[in-house]
Amino acid sequence: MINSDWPILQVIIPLFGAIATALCFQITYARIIAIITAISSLAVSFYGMITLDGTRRYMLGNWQAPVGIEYRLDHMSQPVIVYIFVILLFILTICRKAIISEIEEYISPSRRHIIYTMILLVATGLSGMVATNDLFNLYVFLEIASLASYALISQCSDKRAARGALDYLILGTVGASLILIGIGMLYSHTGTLNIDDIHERLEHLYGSRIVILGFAFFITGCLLKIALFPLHFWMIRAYEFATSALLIYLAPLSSIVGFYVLVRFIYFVADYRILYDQLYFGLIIKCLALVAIVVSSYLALKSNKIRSLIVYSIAAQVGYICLMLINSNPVAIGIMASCLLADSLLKIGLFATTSDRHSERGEATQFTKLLLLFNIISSAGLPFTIGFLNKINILSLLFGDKEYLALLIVIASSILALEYHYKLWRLVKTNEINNSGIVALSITSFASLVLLIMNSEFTRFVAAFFAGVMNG
Amino acid sequence: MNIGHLIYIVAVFIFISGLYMMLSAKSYIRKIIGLGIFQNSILIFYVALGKARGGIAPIDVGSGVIYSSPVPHVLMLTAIVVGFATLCLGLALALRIEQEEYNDKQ
Repeated sequence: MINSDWPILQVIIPLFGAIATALCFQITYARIIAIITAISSLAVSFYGMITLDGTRRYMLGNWQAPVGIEYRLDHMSQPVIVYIFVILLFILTICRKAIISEIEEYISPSRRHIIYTMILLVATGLSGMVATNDLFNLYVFLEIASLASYALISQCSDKRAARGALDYLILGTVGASLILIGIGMLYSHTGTLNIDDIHERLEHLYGSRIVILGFAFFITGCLLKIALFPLHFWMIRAYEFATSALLIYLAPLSSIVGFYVLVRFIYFVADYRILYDQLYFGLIIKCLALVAIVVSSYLALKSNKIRSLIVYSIAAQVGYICLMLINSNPVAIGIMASCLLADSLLKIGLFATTSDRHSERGEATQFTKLLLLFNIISSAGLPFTIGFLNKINILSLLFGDKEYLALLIVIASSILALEYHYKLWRLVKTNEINNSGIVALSITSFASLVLLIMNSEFTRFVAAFFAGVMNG
Repeated sequence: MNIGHLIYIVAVFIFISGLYMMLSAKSYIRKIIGLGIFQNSILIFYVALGKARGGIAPIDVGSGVIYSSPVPHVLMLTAIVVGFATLCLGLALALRIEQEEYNDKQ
């Protein structure tokens, strides 16, 4: 069964795990079921990644492609799914204590197991979004993941978290609805929802204003979901008071999958050349990204709390990643993937250690402080870290493209980044940092070191994949 | 302008009123009502897409008849469920905020 059906199994196992945790009413069983689910879905998706040869298409219920829903797994989507389940297993096992002390304590005992249901539903939604090749199915999975994450964000000892979650819900729903309208407009002209089929039929339709409007709606919705500059307010409000144990899970994965959907839309649904050269989407996103980099770095410098500083630095990172996304050079996509991965590892490390609500406040050892310093240095983009390598790659690419304005802005914001990371380090040092996140921090630091060493292979692999996509 | 396009104008009008209500209202309940209106405009838009000129309801009555497309209706059934879940979650969060404010005043 696993040989032929793994594309659907990796999405369905977390869904059934979620139902099982909701029905078991016992927090101990819920934890065990969640861990078993995470391990088995990771095993299935890993098996899929190893045996994957080229592109694997899976028809749901044997309904052939344009009529039925199709899953499409390739060397871009399957690694993302594996990464989702790795992070899922990571928080369920290594950050187990943080979840117990930061969330479970504040929920009445009869409802505690629902936390695990929500965590598994987020994994279902995200893996489904990555796997599917059908636009409406993508919307449904997007809503599954979003609804579960609104519910998770609101669960916190801090009362302001519920307000942040409600703002997140309202703006997140607006984003998803814009995506839905975009899908409707493309559907009205192509008569199909299958991504490959739309791509084929759109070839002669780029003159239509409805199609262009559909692109605009879909891309705006995606930009809202990834929190690019003028649409980033929900992220600031939702992440500022949310529990750090959950942000370890939600923050990196939602941005990775958000960018995945954007890449999928720009390079697989639409024709990126027309989108960038004739319709100026690239120019608009580039302007927004540059403004995002400057404004977020400035706001990070102005903020006085550890959490809001980290959140603004995430917003600045989104700007850098968007700058790479709209560069139609395959190497840029490789750098973007490396930035996303490094950024997610940094976020996990920072959120795991800088939580201020741990019940057991162990005094931080020198080792913890050293690792944290290493992470902050990497995030600031100082030498001998992955952050530095990514920044150098971005700068050399911009220099090669003769984008001097962008180059100047990136250099200026890097100087600002040095300053606010220094501030972050001082804030971290004065506040009590604790040892509870030390295992998570060591693992992510090690992973970012591995990424630093393997960086050229990694970017070359992604770039080779995208060179194949761009040449049809 | 084609009279058949009137339904899209109505959908856009509802869309904009919902969006305005959601972004301008102070109270959370009003924001959530705006959200409901906003989502319903998309349902109207999709259902209108399925209509074929001169087409009848998609019931099999023999050949030579034009049918309206049932697919957008089916898609919107899913969207209705999603919208319902969003409204429920939004109201639950609003209730929680309200309760906490009430507790603070006590």
